[in-house]
Amino acid sequence: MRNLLISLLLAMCMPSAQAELVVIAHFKNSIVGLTAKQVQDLFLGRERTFPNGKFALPIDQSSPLRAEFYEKLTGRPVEQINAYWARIMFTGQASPPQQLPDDKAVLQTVRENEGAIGYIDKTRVDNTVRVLLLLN
Amino acid sequence: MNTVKKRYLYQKLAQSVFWAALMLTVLTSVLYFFTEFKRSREKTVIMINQLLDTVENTAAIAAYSNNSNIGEDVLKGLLRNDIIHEARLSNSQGLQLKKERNTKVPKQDEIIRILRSPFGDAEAIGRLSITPEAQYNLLEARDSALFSALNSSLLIGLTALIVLLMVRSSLSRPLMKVSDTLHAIKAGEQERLEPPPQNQGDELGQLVEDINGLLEKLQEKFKAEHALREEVEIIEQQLRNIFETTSAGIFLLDEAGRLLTVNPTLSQVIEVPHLSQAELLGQDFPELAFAEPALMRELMRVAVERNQSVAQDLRLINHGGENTWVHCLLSRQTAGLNGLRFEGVVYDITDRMAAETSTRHEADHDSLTGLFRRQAAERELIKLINQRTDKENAPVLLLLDLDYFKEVNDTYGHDAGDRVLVEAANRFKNCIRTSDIVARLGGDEFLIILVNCAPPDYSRQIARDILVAISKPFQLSSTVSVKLGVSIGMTIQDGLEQTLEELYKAADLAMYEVKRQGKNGFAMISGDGSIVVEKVAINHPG
Repeated sequence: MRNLLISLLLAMCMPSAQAELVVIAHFKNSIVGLTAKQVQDLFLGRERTFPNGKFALPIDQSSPLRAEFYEKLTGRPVEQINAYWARIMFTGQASPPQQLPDDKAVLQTVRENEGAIGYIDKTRVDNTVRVLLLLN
Repeated sequence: MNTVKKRYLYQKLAQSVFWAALMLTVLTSVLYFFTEFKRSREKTVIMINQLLDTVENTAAIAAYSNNSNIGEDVLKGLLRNDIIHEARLSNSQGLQLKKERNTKVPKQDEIIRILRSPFGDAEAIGRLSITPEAQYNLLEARDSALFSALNSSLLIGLTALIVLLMVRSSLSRPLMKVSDTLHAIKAGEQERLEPPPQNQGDELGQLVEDINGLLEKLQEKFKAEHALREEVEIIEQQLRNIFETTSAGIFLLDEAGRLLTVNPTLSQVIEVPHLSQAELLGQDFPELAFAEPALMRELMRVAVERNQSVAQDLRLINHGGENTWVHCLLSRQTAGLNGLRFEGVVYDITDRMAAETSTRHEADHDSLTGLFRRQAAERELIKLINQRTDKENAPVLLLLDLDYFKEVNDTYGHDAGDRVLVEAANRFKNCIRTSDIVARLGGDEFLIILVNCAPPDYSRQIARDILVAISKPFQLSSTVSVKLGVSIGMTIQDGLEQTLEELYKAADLAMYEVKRQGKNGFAMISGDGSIVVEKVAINHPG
């Protein structure tokens, strides 16, 4: 039923020129969904745990999808995100999320780590992971 | 003038300008301080806002990422600015950072900047607040005020200096020059001020011209006054000469008649040459000079009474010599203010008195015989008549006419006649008392008045004596002598009412009776009008 609904949503979004992205987590993750802000806080290091208190491990990508993801998530160009991280890294107090080369690697990592959270093209998603947010 | 330090006008001006400049400077500095302090505060707020603009993003990142390191960096960076006293950063996740300067100054209002999330919906995530540094504002304001004070002092000082120099060169200097020249000029001198060349036509030039005009007038006045003074001196000298060398004594008396002022001649005139001019002062003039002081005092009284000049001949005290007479002119002084004063002149009139006496003597006396003339004799007679108060002392009148005198005159000439007359006059005088009066009425007619000769017999005896005396021969020369007689008519004024004419007439009648009865006798009219002629028997040898 949920799949059907997602499918329907996806169908509605199809006319968009850019690809749709989904934020995914381990299928055992008890979180049903996250807001864009909650996702943003996790990926920009502001929050380290999910709302349920479980430790979160954000997984980034080094693919072109990355720019799209951050633009859609924060409404800011990816360069600003890079600058942000550069500043934080300089203090040595935190570091940006680990970057994986593509959706496949992300999927793999998410499947293997219960606290992991990542993003992939919507078309690559499958039942082994839980979709927390759809970005379009 | 050399010892007293001059106080120049421009120095006074300099002092005034200095104090005014000082006050202005202080005032402007204080004003400047306060405005500058205010301006500085405003400027600080603007600058702090600009700083906030600068660090806002980083601060927002620090707040967003809850990163105290970035926050600390931001705050440290802010504190490097002098204008910031305290900076605080806080976020909604409990981050509280604070940095402050350890200066003790009154707290100022915080400037607060709300930090918003750098991503997404710009949600407020914290705040950055800054307290401005008051010390900085104060310092800034103080420096500005100090600079302003220096600046304005310099400007005002320079302006004042230039003004002073201008005043000194274009006003004070020329004025001082004029003043010094004027100071050196003595009133009435020929010298004039030189008009300063660069001040022609301005106030100073006009002043100099006016002063020169005044000097000109002053000199004229001085000349005129000098001339007048010389004139007055000459007059004064002349008057003084008159006062000192005049033969008249000049004096000033006080109310009581004491001498107040005298000229050198006075002591000579009033015959006290041993007294000096100074010794005369204070002496009582009437008592000192005059034989009859009361007359002088009376003259003073009259002068006051009539309020005009009065004059009188007065006799001086006789210091053993001839009597000296002076003429005294006296008047009440009208010019003086201090009490009653008399001014007067005395001069010697002894000679004039003597001349007058001699003239009167000539008028009264017959030049040939030295006897009284008719008028003088009649004057004396009238005096006697008027003096009588009772029936005693009756005067007796004798009219005498020489007998045969015409023949002597015709025979021996007038000189012989004159000698006879002189001799007859002498014989008459020898027959009477000195108090009696003998007069020649003219030609060979004589008049004798016997004074105080009451008993008729006594006067008859005198008549007889005269007859005897005349009957003696008159010696004309050593060889020639003549014999004459005399006819005498007598009358006595036994009543008080008889006039001179009546007495003459009576005596005349008696004398004619003698002539009618052969001359050389005397007759007296008795009370009933009868006339008895008496003759004297005369026996002369040869």
